[in-house]
Amino acid sequence: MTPPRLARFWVRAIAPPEIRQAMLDDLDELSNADASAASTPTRAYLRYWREVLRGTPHLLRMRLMSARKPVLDWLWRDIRHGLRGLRREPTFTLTAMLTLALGVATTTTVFSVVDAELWKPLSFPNPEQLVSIHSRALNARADRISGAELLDWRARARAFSDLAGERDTTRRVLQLDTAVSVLVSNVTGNYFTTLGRPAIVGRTFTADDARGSRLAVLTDRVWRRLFNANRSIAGRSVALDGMTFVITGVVTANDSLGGDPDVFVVIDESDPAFLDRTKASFYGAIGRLRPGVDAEVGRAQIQAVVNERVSATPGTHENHSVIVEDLGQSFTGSNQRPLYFFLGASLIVLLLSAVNVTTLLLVRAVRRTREFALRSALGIGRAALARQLLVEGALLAVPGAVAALLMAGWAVGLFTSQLPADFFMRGTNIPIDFRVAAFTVAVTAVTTLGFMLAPLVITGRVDLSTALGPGVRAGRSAVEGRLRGVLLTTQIALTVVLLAGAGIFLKSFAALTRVPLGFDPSNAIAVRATLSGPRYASDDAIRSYADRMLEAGRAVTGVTDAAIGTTSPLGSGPVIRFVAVGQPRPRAGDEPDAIIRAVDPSYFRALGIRILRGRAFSTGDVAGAPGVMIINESVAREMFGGDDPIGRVIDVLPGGTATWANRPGPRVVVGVVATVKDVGVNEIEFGNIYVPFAQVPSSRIELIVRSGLPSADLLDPLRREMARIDPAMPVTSLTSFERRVTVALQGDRFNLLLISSFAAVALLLAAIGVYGTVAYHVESRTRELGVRLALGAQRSRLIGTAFWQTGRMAILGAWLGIGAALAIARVMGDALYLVPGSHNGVLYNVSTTDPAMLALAFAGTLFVAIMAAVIPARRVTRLDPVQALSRE
Amino acid sequence: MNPGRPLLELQALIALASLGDEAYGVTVQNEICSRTGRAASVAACYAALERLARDGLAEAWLSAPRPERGGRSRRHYRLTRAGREALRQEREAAQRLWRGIGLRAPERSR
Repeated sequence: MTPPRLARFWVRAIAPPEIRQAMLDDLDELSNADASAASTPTRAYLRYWREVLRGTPHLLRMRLMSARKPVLDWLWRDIRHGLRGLRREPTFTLTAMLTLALGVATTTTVFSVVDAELWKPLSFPNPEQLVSIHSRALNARADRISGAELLDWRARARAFSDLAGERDTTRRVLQLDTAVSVLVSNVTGNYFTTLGRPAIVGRTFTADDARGSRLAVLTDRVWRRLFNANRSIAGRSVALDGMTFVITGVVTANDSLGGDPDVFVVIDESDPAFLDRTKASFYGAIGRLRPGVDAEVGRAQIQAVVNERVSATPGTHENHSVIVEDLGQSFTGSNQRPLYFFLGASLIVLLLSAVNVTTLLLVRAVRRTREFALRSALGIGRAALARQLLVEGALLAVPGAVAALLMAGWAVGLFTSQLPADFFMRGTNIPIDFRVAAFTVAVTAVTTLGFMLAPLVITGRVDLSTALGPGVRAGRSAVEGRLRGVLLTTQIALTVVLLAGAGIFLKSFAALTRVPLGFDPSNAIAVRATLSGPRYASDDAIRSYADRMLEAGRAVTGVTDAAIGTTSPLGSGPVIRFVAVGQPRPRAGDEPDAIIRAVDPSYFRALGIRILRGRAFSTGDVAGAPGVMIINESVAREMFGGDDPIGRVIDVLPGGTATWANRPGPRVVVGVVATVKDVGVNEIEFGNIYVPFAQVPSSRIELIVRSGLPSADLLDPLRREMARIDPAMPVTSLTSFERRVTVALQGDRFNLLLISSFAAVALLLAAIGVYGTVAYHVESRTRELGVRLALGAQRSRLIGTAFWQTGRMAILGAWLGIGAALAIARVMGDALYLVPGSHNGVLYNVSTTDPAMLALAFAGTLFVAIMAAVIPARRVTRLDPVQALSRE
Repeated sequence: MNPGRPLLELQALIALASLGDEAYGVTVQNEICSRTGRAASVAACYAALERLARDGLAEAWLSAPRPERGGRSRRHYRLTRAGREALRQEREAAQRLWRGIGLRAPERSR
């Protein structure tokens, strides 16, 4: 009976070396005895296996007992051997290491972004218990709730250990030596305890603070900037809009909840305004579920409270459903698609680098055929060979992983510095932390294991007599040739895919920069102020400030035009709902909405927004005069179709998303203006409603100035003028509109940068791969080429052959790449485009199967492949037949 | 001596004493099997023999090259002086242990 090979292999692998051979021989003896004792071969076979399986625990234990020192011994020997080999071939070593590092770094970079944005749990204790709770009508925005409702929820929903609320942040003036504008968030007393967010200095609020105390907690950013990181700050009083607040402590800024304010102040829960059910000021609540309680239980309890409210006061909250979602997840929503897309793209780069390193190792393995053959002739088994290869892989992988981690840290820094601060919902502070490092190690390990297998396939097939025989052709085998062909083809295909992706993003970005914005951003600046405090409580005070602001702006040298508005293009604004009088009224909650802006008569002229019909506001549109409004093209089309909207009446409904915008009532349409980009360049068309600033004065003011000078020259004079209007009321920002456009496109620029760097890495890797393949082809056939040259073959034909061998595979790969790109485009569908009501877009005005870009990717990849092939192929021309023949 | 020497090691010790120069994996296994009626795997025998060797009670030696093993030697084991001494002590310990114990056939239950 021949002993079962697998069983033998197993014994060989696990038995301690001193008894390995004796053990195998004994097993053979046993099975031979069995066979001759007239038992059947099957019996002998089974007996063999039983011996091996029953013996396995004993062998393993012996191995373990004796392992400690020998393991270190052979490991050390393998490492030294590996290092010697790598030092002998520095080009190979560096190329392989860098290739691996590039691939891993790319994936790590994108992983760290995706992890920080989508996967990492919130950095609060037991983050899985934290939920965000809203109530909303079907297909509508989430409703705001009143403080009284928050108290109802807190009292009735027993599934939660606590429920906290946070109002919208507001800008207020912090009076120190100078007046500073700060972002203030109003939170309930239990906000910090619900989250489990500790103070780094002093204390946070407690539920007891919610009874009329005027307390403030600073975030460490403002504490460092304005208070010099003073550790004895707790107990100090500060003035916010003229009201005195006592600072209780400092917390670390945490942007994972959509950006932290500068200051938290505690809400007075005994305030009548808080308890007023008509004043809905909370955007839902933050809840902490009791340990082990399911979110659905909490949802049902709050739904019951909401339903009771509906039956008690009909007309409010009808058809409302309560939504409870993970707090961390509730801040990530819109960014998911592009992030997953880029993660996928980065995995292609990783695959590419793995393929490349495999190719390199394969070439090296073939060069080492003699070494392997010799070692196996000296009795070194395949297991030892595999071990040696693994150690060599690790020698490449460890520095590769370290380099990758460094590169990723650098790349994350580079990329995030290119981003607007609010590009990621959870902030652009993306750490290279333990999770990222673990990911890097895991990816490197898997990749290394993957490519270490390839040389083993070959070494397993080395035939001793041919490998050690005279005049060996470096052991080329059919398997190896096929494997290399597949690898090269894959590499080219992946490169084409990435290049096509980059091309499509480039075309999209080019289209975005040419989109009509609806206004003229050149040499225009917006100066923003938010008036707060008792001195600006009246409309008159606000109007007077606005007038002085306008005057001051006009007084600056170089300014050719100036205007006042609440917000301006690419600066968003509060949203109101409205209905056209004389048209059927939609169901409550389904009315159209628009961004509202209060503007002065010169606003449209100063910004270069075209008036399509009717007129701009005039100096006659003052408080007390008939209410008027100007709508944009989009509202005119939606509401009136082809009819002339001038003279029609639009009723603005209560419930605007900003206090100043909440001035409901009918207004006559006096003009129609062009639609401007409101938030970003790649956006759905928003409806805009403009009202006269004189009729609807707002504490949020922008001064818009246009000049003949570059914006940068105007910033300082403007800042000086503004400080003179009211030294106690600082302006919050000065931004040129050119800058706003740049910022609006930063996300798209980031995407382009990301995918272009993928494509660049891919091209580089493909070039290395092709170079390696052709160089190997020439190298391994030097002898044959020498013979053919000696026999009178033409050099050009030999070059052609060397070239064509690779060229065939490259062309096949490029076609496969085109196919893959088309397939990916098909699978992605409209996921990368703006789909109104569903998701934002990262591509604009370009098809994912854009033929020009696919053709460019095809041609570009092949061009690089040819360039990379030329250098090694030229070696054939310099080949000296005599030398070639005398080799080896 | 080690009071808790495992049974298989004791059995291997006895097998070495009984087999003399003929003791190697297969014969030790056979010897234990025929003396106890229980089959230990070859690997288990090796484990026991190697532990005896580690403790200095047995030593391994290589036979002359053998044609049926493709010219390789067999790994034999034999008792050392310490091994014989240990065996003697084990035997006395076992006799003391069993002193006065008579085995009766279990009464038949109805």
